[in-house]
Amino acid sequence: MRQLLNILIVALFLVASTATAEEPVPPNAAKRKQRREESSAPRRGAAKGTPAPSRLIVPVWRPSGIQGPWKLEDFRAKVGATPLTLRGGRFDDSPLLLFVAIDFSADLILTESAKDSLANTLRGAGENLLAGLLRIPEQPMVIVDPTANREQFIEAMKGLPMSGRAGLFEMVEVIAGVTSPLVREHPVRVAVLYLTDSEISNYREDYTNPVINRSDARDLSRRFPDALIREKVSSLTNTLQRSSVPMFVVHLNYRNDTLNEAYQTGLRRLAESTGGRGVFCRSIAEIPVAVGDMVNAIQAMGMLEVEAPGSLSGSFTITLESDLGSLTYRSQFQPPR
Amino acid sequence: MVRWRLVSWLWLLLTVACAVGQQQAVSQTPSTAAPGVQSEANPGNAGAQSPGEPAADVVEAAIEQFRTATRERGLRSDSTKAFQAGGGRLPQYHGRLTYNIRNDLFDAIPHQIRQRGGQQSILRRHQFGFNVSGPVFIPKLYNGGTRTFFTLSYEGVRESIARSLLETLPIQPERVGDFSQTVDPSGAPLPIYDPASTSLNPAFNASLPVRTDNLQYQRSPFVNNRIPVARLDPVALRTMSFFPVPNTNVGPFFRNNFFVVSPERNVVDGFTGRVDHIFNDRHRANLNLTITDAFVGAAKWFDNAANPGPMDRIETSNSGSLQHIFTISPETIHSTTFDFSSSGFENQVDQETNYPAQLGIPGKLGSVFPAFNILDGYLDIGRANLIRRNYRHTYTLTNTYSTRLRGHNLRFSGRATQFQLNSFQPDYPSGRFRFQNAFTALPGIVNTGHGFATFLLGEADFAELSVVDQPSYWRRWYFSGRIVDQVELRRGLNLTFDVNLEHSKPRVEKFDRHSTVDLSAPNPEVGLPGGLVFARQGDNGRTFQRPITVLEPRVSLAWNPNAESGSVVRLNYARSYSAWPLAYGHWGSQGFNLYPTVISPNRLTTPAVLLRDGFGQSVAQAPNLSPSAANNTQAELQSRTNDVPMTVSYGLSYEREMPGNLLVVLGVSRDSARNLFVNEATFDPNAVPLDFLSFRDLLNDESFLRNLRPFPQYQRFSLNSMWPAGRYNRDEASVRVEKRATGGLTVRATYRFSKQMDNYSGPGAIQDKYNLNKEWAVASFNSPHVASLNYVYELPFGPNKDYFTFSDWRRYLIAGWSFTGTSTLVSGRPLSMRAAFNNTGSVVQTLYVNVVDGVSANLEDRSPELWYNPAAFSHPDDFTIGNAPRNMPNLFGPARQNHDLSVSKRFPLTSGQSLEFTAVGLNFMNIGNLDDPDTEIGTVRAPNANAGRILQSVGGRIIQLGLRLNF
Repeated sequence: MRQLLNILIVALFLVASTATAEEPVPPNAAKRKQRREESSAPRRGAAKGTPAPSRLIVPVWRPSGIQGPWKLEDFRAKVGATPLTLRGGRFDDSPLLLFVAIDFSADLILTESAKDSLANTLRGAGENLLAGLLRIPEQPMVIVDPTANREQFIEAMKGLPMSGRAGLFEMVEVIAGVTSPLVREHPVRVAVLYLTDSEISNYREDYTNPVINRSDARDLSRRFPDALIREKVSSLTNTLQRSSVPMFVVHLNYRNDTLNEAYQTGLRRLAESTGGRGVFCRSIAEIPVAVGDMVNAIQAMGMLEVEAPGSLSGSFTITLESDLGSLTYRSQFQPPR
Repeated sequence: MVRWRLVSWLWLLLTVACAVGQQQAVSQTPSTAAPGVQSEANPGNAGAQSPGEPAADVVEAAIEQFRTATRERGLRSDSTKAFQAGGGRLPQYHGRLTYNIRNDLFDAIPHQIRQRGGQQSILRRHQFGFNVSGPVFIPKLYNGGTRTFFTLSYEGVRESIARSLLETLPIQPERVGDFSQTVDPSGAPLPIYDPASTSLNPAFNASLPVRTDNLQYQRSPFVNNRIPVARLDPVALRTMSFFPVPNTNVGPFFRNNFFVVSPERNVVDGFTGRVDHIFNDRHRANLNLTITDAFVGAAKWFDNAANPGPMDRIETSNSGSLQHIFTISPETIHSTTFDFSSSGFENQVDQETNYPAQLGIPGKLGSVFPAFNILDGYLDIGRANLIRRNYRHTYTLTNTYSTRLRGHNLRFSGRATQFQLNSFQPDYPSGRFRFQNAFTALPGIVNTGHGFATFLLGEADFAELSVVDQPSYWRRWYFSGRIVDQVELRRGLNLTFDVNLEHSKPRVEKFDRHSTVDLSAPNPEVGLPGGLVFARQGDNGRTFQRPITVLEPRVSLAWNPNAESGSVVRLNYARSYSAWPLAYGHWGSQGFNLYPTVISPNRLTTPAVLLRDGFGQSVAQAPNLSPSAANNTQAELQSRTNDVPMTVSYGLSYEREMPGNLLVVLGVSRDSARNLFVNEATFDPNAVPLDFLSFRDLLNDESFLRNLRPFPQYQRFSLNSMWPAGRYNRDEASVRVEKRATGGLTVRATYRFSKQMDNYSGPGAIQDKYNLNKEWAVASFNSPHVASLNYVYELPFGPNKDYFTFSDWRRYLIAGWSFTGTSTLVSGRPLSMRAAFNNTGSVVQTLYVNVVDGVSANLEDRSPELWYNPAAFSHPDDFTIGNAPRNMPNLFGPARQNHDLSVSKRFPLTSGQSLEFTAVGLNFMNIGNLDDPDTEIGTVRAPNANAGRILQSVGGRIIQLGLRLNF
């Protein structure tokens, strides 16, 4: 009993100490706070006491087969029956900052194939694409700032060593934190592409809940062992709902055990919650296709600036319509705080 | 205990220090810090491009902001501060607190308990623990940042769980020698004969089989089927005080009359910890440690020293590893890993009381309770291995070098492992005495006499003693070198070639207390070949088995006919070998340890020992390093060939991605194994050939029978499940359909059809040990059809979902629900039909039945009352074998099903904290799965009344409730 008490005290202290730790600090926090204060001041024409509207960035893809320049007038947005104002659009001729986050931990042949595929794809990409290179979970994370110099990017990428540990779960919020302001504050398109061969048991943090007491034959707490992974995905999804940058994932090594299935499904869910996509390669031959398709999809992405009423709270769904046909776009958002 | 407390308090102090340091530092943090990415919102008009602003300037401004932001976060090489997850100056820790509870109040009463009239199956289980992970941070001393990271978990269990048992004990009159109510399996009175009245039948005609009208020995029944009290053995009478009385009457007749529900108590504590450290870009290391201690308070079948059930025991398990990874270049990695594991257990047994003396068994025996086996379906008294102290240690060093060379991904690895096993477990230090019906039967006539009556008379037909004074220290080495090459042969076609060269040394004993029977060595006592040989004596080395060097190739091909099509064809081939195992116990040390054995000279008429006489005063003294030291015992024989188990596997699968996130996988596979390790139930080089059954009743004479054995000086050979004679085949076809996360629903459905064949599985021993090919039959564990369904459904309710997207207080009730479940349907296993009586002079260990031609065993309207048609089988005549296969290929037991479900509700607390409530229901539909039916077939005169009947169903809903605080 005394031992139990000790453990509980220790655990409570841990919780307490964590709770007092700081929340994530975004870059330029002070500067943005000032902006926020400015923007939250009543605007001209706004009713007194009405919360100020907020600007949302909606990634959107036109129906396949539609060519020609994008026009903002082609789109209409609403929440429920309430029309929303489209403040602007950044289309496929806008600058595109593509951050490639490398999370390679295990398999040389797959990662080399992914590097080669990305290099080939970028060499043929549009000139408005600037690629930056990040590596996770290592520090320093930024290897190359976004650059139009493809060879510089490719050379740096080729020289990246294996990390030995997976890190996507641990760094996805950080990367969202430093890239979201770019798309909010500058008229550029921004996307993050994760290339990963990670498996869930290779994280430094424990998401697999491994058996500790082998003598305990009646342990039901691990009957459904993916609970921790789903919890982490739920937690990250809630955070990423507030991010403005879509996340794209190419996973190089599809695994079909219970834990990794939950992990891979979670990655797809995370990507989709930001308006991005996730694909999983089941053999090396699928890697070039997956990487090429994903970069092409990112290049074809447009971003609409939508003004949402400040009265919206919680999560809400934006409906985007166009006479061009059925659109693919991010629909779920959380209101800015 | 002391270690435990010390760790707890050290950790407490460390954490308090961390918390205090953190509080101080937090107070110094600028208050302008805003929470997470949420603060990115409301940028005002900052996103609008100023008219005429050149695109290059816009891009450069964005990139400059990125540089600034990442520099401030410590994400760049030119950052002036170190990165901290969360963005603060102090580390963030993540983890969880968990508590799970189980109580029989939540559960259904298990079917098997309810069927016996039970109202409760006690269950109290508390499982609690924590996990915390983050950077190693010691205020003012060390900040691990992203370089040094730890994870620490604890889990404890306190549990009391009821165990149930249904067995047969002697009824009250039988305990005092009154067998007037005792019946045979068909319910007819069972006559008990007086062994003291045995005499040769002068009218016996040896040319005819022994029958009631042609008896070899005459014997009179006890008057009124009652053994006079004066004839009862005093040791047996004293033993009766340890034997409980029946407490139920499930039947049929007086069978299944002892039902126990006894609590098992478990106390388990375990820690696991891991530290990762990055020295620099090229060097990293990680350390893992796990420590577990457990006390298993076994459920007691008898609440005294004669308990034949499991023992209380202490278990420990410790393991760890240290790994260093050296990244030589982006394409070349070298790693070195040292692993160790140590596990073991010790029985908790009373060695203070001298039970043999208390019972009155004379001789120099151990102090623990002796074992009495009663071979008529009655529960044993006492048990083997009361004393057990076993500890296993494994040390492994692994070196791996991975590189990429001209399109080949190469991995070279070398491994060296030492296995250590320290074992002390004398089987029967106070002796084992066996009683069967023969001495109280009409000699040579089945279905007469009773093993318990023989016990009361104290006339054992077999007795053995373990003279083991010291532990055995077994050691074994294993080395391997492996090369793996992955290469893309051409676009869409990938080859993985993996070859492992394995060198496995046979086991040795640390002090060379190691021996085996050498079938060609002289045995001076009997003047025959087959004598014990000892390590390091004569020309012998330290071991008798040969080192095994094998090559294990493995090839797999993955072919994408068209990468865009989402189809993959996979083809696999692998050949693998198993090494000599290290098993608990002293097997292979005969001579250093002795097992004096006494066998009845005539198993119909003459006991081996009388209980009141015991083993006598002249008990063997170990060691006895004579070649004849194992004579008259079950001698330990080690295989000295190069054969070890080999398995060859082939597999072909086709995967296809379908629209709607569907994945379909079709597969076929074959596993074929030979030289699998088996025990003496399958292979016995000293078995009497079945042809000698023609000697019929002469086989009951031990001296006659002995001379029919290839090695008459031994009873049988003990092989310790290490004789390479087993064969196994498995053919399987499967289909798997997966639907991934659409609307929160993920489903995986699998169906598998398999056919498994072998030459060893099933209850008891195989019938003909000289013809293993004839024993090739469907495996007893083969369930041909297995279907399973796994699903996860996150209800689409609440914010970010499709329905009930409340953002007010209602979201706390509506959102965060999910269901996870798994359902399995398994078809029945083949039934193994066995004969109720075995009158083969112990030539056949387990007797099969005969198949009756033209009578189907399968019933159209089968039910638990009658699952199959017993008339389809008949009992073999005396001294003949059955012609049915070992396991019936077309007669199956009941199918089984199980459905488990977990319901969880997540309550987000803050952006980084949540509380999760989980209810797990095992067998949540409370389905009782039927046991297999009774497969014993009696004779025409004594049919088994239970044949074809299913006695019970088992299982019941189990609920566990859990809370987890994630932070």
